[in-house]
Amino acid sequence: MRRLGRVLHVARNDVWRMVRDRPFFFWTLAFPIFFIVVFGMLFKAGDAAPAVASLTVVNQDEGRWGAYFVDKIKAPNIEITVVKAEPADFTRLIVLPPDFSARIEARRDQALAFKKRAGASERAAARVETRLFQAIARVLSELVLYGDGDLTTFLDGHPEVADLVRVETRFPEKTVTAVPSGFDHSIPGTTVQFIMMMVMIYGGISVMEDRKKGVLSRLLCSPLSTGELFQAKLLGRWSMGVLQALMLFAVGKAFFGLNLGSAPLALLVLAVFALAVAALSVFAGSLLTREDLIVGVSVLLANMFAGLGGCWWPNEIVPPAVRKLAMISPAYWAMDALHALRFFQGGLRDILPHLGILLTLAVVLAVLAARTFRVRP
Amino acid sequence: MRRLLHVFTNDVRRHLRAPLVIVVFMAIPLAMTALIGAVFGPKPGANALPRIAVLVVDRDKSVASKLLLGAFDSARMKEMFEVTVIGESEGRERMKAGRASAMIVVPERFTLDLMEWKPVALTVVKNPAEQFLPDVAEEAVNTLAVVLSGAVRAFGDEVRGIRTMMDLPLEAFPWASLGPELAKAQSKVIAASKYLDPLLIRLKSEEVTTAGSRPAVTRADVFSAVLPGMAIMFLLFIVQTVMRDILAEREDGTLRRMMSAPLRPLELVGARILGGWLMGLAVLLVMAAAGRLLFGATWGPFGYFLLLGATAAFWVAAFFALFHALVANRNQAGAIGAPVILVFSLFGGSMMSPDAMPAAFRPIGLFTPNRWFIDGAALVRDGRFPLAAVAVLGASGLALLALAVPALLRQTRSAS
Amino acid sequence: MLEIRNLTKSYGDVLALDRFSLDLAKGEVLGLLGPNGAGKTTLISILAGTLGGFTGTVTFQGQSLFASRQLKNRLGIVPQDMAFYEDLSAMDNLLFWGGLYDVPRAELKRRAAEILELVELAGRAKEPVKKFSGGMKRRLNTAIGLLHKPDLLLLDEPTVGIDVQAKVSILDIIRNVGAAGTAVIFTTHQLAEVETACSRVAIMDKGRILAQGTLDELVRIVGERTFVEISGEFGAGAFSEAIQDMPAPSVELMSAGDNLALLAVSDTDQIPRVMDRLFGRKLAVTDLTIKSPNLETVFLKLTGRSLRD
Repeated sequence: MRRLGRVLHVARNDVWRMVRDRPFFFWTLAFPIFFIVVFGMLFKAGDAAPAVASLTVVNQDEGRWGAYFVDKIKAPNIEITVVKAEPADFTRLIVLPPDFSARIEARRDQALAFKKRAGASERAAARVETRLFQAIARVLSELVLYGDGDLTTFLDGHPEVADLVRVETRFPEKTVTAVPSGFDHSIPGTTVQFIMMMVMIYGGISVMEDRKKGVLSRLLCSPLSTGELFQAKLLGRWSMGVLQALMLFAVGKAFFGLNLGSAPLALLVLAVFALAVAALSVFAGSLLTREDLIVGVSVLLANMFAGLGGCWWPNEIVPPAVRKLAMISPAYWAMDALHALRFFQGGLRDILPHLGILLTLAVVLAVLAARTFRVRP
Repeated sequence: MRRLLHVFTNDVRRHLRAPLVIVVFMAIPLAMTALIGAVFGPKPGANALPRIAVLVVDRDKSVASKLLLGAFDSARMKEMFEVTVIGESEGRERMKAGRASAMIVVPERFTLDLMEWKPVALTVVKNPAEQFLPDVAEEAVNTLAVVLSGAVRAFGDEVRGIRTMMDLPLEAFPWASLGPELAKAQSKVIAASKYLDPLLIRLKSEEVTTAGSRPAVTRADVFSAVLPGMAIMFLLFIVQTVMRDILAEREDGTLRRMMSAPLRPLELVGARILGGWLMGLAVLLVMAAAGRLLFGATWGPFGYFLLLGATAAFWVAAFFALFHALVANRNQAGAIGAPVILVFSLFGGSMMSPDAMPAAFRPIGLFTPNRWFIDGAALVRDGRFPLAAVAVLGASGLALLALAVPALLRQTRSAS
Repeated sequence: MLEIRNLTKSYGDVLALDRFSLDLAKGEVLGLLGPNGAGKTTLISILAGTLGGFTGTVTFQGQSLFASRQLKNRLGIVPQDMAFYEDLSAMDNLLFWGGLYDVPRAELKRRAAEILELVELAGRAKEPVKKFSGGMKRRLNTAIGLLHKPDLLLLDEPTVGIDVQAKVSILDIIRNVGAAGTAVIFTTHQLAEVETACSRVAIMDKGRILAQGTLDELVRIVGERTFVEISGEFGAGAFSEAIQDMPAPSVELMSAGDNLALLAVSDTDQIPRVMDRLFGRKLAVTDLTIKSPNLETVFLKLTGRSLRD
């Protein structure tokens, strides 16, 4: 019991020192929240494209069909700018040529140039293109229906054509009931990424500094054993990760309406994940001897794991080969488990494989860290 | 000048003696570029996105639902979607497990209701964990719904006529009436063909790139587009690390010792800024060369790139000279410097394309070196001279320098 | 209380401790004197239990010092490094380090307050240690080792790099701790400190104890001779030649360097004779200092080199 008390005493002191550090809350709370807000707005309503996709219509049409066609394109999520001449700068653009109406009225086919700037959002372009197809389909349907006679007077009056087939969308039963907000996507990803980054940087640097300053050696002058000291260091860094997860989830819940599915299970996932990261941080702190090197390696690993693990972009758009590679990232298993809980109302059984893999990873990393753990410079 | 160069060469020698930090910071953008390129780079012979797994539950099992399924059989749709017709319970299970992006449920009596011009609804069940692919599936179904609505409207009279006959028993079926109905439909098809064959209005999509670039986007192009953003972000980190000497020497007492030698404060400040600038430029060139070798990234004319890189490195060196003149100690520099770099990178386009940002955020990028460097690098890649980027970075860099030098001189004098 | 027998430790080919043996009684303050590399820190690290790979035995209060980690509750260590947390206050540091030992929390708080008084840091108890001067940090470093009232206190060069006032304060603390019954081993290469604070002195070099005893006992090793330090303009060889045929017990050359030499003479009457020899050889003498026997001369005699080598 006394042994456990000593381990807790050292771990508590580590957490206390980190919490007292003024930049700690900036890095673990304020900065992730900034990311959550930016990415949450970006992924608003489950849409990673801009909330409103822009389309420039170069309407050179000399008749009335051009304006009619533009009306058909209009949709709440498409911002249309109508111009007369093709501008030098545009994101995506459709040209209605001068003879647009004339060709329709003469029933002569035509192809409209739709230009997309390379590098612009492909998702927004796809949305606009789909809308253009729908507009063409609507105009053609009307022409097929009512376009027997003189088309020059067609626009003077024809019955409105309402769509017979509607499309309703919903989510699978017993999953989510409301559309997940952008924050539902951005908070878990940001939390996972920042736990990796902060635990590795703070945890790694403090192990390295304590070793350099002789603090680790001095700790061993007390009845504390090397094993207990290692456990204490691991526990301190794990507590820091869990504390960060708790803070970000609490803020997410209070201010962004975050829904985790089962909050206790989500915390369990992050607790096991934090254990793997804590082991990695002690490993880095034991192996590396310079602060900026620990920062560099931590940033490198945290970013690669976050990118692979689905913290930055939806995993479904990732090629299969990269998805396979992602399995080496602890972030992948944490994110996948959080998705199972959040989006599919999963229970403990659903996330057991994830927990098993994360725990195995934590044990492997802890063994590695224990083998390299040094108390002397 | 001799002493300035002496301090400068000593700094370079010191940093080269422990290059691991710089190497790690150079490895990060290259690794991230590799990852982003692997995720977003074009895949050989395939769609930009992975094929979207779509399940179809056909409760109708009739003409209209078959037509709908047939639409997914076209070459373009096959490229985009991997459709599996599936039983309802199994479909539900799969969706519950998140094993498809969307499930389309065609309701019972879908064909019959359409024939009667009754509004019908197709249900798209979307995978809640996915943010993008279910929407693509939904949009595709929306388009099919518009086409189907149009077709049903166009042939509504005939369809209704046939539908009425279908309710009669077989022995009472008015075979004689079927002929005229089909004849009417045929004449409509013929009439409609003037709009549909070929389509009266079509889209001709093309991707517009700026002058000098190739029509098809290659993976190397993706790397070329991503790497400048990453390179400038980590250039900021590296130059900050290198120029932290300004504070380290003040805290360790070496500054006082240096100033006891016949070294003028201006020479020392000049050596520090020159060090940050030239080492930054060297790092940038190494990253560019590594990008070329590893990913086949293109940078455009070397002279233009060198000028842009030199200007960007100058800006970064001047910025961190001012930054280190304003902060009190190394801890403060570490605590403030990294967030500043990340904010620059986020709004400047290193982390995401400005197009993907909410409109309100985009102008913020203009106040970051990242945005100007990235835009300038894009122009250089197209063989164009990055005049605006060089002018803005150069002029604002000089302004920063004008603020930094007096502040650093004041500090150097007070420390000594 | 403490018996060290044949303690041997090497780092590769370098022998840091060579069959080192030592006894220490309760309340005794032993000054372990030796130049850099003598093996002092190695000895302290082994006794502190942070360094393994040695042979020999260490018995503490009748049992092996390494038999149980619980014995560490009776051991206080003051390392050479300022090994504590500079971002915490002095009080927080004491509570943390004291918390590692079996001291009840309430008792710990009381002792922490007491010890802060003792090391004259009570007024700055709540301030982050990073704001302290070097001397204050050294005092805190010492206080941490004393907090749990150890029976044996090991201090590894506890006065390095601090001003005279802080040094005096730490030496006072060491003396008082010894007077209160704690056995103390205190390593240093400052002769004056040992002379001030220790009841017994051991001189060690190259991993072995060369001599030990009270200050008087050690001084007797060099005998009741007078020491003469001569400065001038001469080479070591020329100086040695000048006095080489003088009778050994009366005049003994302890060390000779360029422009500085140390002689031991049986009585001061020998000094004019030495000067005659030097002047006869045209060696210029600019300064001459007569010294009584002290630890420095003992050390020089035993090791043939200065403590600062």
